[in-house]
Amino acid sequence: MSSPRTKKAAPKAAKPSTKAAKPAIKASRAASKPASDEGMTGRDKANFIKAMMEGIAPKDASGKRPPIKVEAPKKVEILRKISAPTPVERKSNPLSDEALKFAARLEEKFANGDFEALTPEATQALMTAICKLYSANAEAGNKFPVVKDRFSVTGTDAMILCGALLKAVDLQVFELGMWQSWSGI
Amino acid sequence: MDLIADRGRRVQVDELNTSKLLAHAAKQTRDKGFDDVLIVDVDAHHYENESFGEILPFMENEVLKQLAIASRAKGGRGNVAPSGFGYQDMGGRVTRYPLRSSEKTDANGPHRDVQLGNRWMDAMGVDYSCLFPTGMLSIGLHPQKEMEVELCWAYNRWVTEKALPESGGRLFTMLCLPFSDADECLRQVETFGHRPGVRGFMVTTVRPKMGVQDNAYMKVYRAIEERGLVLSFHSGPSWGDHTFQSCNRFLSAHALGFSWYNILHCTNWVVNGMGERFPKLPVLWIEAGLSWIPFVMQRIDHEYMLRPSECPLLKKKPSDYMRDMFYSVQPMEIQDMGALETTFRMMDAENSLLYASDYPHWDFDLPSTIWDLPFLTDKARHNILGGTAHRLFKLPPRNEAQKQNLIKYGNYQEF
Amino acid sequence: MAEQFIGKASEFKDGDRQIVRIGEDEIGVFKHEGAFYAYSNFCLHQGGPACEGLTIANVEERLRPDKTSMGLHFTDQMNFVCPWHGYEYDMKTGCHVKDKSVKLRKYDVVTKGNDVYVVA
Ligand code: FES
Repeated sequence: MSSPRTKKAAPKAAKPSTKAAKPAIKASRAASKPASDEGMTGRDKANFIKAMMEGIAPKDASGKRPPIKVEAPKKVEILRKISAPTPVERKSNPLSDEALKFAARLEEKFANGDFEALTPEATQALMTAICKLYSANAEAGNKFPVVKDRFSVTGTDAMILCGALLKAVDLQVFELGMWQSWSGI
Repeated sequence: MDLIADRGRRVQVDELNTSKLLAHAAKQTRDKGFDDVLIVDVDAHHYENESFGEILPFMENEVLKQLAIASRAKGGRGNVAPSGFGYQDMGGRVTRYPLRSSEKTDANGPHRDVQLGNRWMDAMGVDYSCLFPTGMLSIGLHPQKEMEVELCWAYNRWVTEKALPESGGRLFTMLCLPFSDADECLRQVETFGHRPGVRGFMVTTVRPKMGVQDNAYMKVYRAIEERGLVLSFHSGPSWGDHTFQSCNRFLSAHALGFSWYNILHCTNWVVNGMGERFPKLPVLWIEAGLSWIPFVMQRIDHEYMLRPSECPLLKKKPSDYMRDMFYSVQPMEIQDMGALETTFRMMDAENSLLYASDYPHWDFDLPSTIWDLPFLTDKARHNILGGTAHRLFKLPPRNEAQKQNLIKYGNYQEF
Repeated sequence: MAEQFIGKASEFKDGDRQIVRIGEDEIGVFKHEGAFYAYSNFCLHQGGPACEGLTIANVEERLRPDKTSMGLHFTDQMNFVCPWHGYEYDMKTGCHVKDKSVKLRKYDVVTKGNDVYVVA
């Protein structure tokens, strides 16, 4: 068989095409340009101006302003509706239900002035588990506010607990600041 | 179906429908009159792993076949073919990746890959597509030569016996060569070379050990040349390759990788005088973009003048041999129009460049990317979109207007 | 140019969008953080359906003062992504997130009572 390539001339610069096709977008933009000046043609305008300058001769149609062409209403068609992204719903589970009930009981005790509802050992165990669980989630990118809203605990509550946690692991506040800026968490 | 957006948000989307997704491409096809232009897409893809259930039974060796099939059974932990790292889907931003399995096709119609192919070809105004696999482009990384041979054999049988015959002639192939084994390459050329729809053979260029100039391959090239078929080299990325392990972004490994493997093998091809040894063998370099071509031309022409003793077979400059070969256009870097125009001039694009979509991969190109280039002559436009491929792959026009255009630009041949 | 009725405001939840054809134009209308935005649905890359892909937060790379990287993070800026090849447009401006000169045609959106109009 012979090569499909015919003998080629030395490559030379391609000449610019005289009718390069325009991208479709540009075409559609041009098409959507509003009709100019309420539909008057150039001749209509010239006649109208002439009539204004020279006065209107009786029965001379050129003096009449041509009827305004009303832009035909455009057809509106809904092609697609796409609904909003939704956050992933976390399904409740038996352990969470239990935790919610337990927390409600603790809150109730606290509201009744019972600060010693849990032994120090029980408080430590709970705090340790919650601390680990929350941090692991945050590191995995599953971030959610640590308490439900701004008023769930007071500023003093937060500072006492943060301070105690830092002290427990022998960290200074400036180390916390430095670590936050380096880790981005 | 849900897509995952940022911070775990989910976006509900309809199932994928290629025709709907490409509705704007269909509009371009109508607006630009592509039905009157023969358009050949020399590089489109399917996901052959979706058909492994049909492909693997074609493997010849019973033991390897059992290994491969068992690895895919429920609970199997095997990996039949090498797979690379990467995020082609860009985190789901390129929605046709995550939604692919949701697309419906007619269970009683032709093969699913053919139905999907028809949808994108019709939308883009493409008349013929050369169908290539996707995962198998990494077959050169398989540590077992014999598994590479078996998988290529099975794929080549399946694609020529099951998929192509149902495409009504619109899909063709350049079959995957098991390049780690030259004797097997020859056997597969001899076995499949004459089958309908086979227009050539393809070497995947992502390979750690291979010199295209090795003596072992000469018989393979000769067999392809004798049959009037095309030899193509299809590039790919390989993020795991030590060359790219310092890349921390997929973008870097992808942008460089696709060009790199073609740069490497094209240089070896040219410097070793393969163009002199097989002057009638059409060679096609696929999916590396275009910007590497002037780079390699400049580099090796420069060194050729300094070190002529290292390429005694060459009778003209390396870049002249490069202009004798063919290149697929995608992904075309349309950034600096002046540089692109220079590239076209340097490579003699009017006679060497072939349109390719690479659909459905993430960086596909529509025919309008060529059609709309401001510096092309009408002849160049028609040649690149299909005229040159018409002669190279012997693909007849599909209507009278296409035939007239082929005649007008001097491409028409009766087959 | 005229106001074209495209739907009831109450039909749009925050984050919802509609793709509408008005005459020759194809337009994506988004509701984002309580406001409406409308852009041409023809991507400036190869003409893909720019407004029909994923909406996703912008990605930034944070640096420390010593110029070391803290890696990639989502920000509060919301983008929409053309599903063909990933051109990412800022929801509030319609500009490509990296090249502001690549800007989708923007349409005004007017609400009157519960009615939403696009000026096209
Ligand atoms: S057409 Fe929109 S990203 Fe390519």
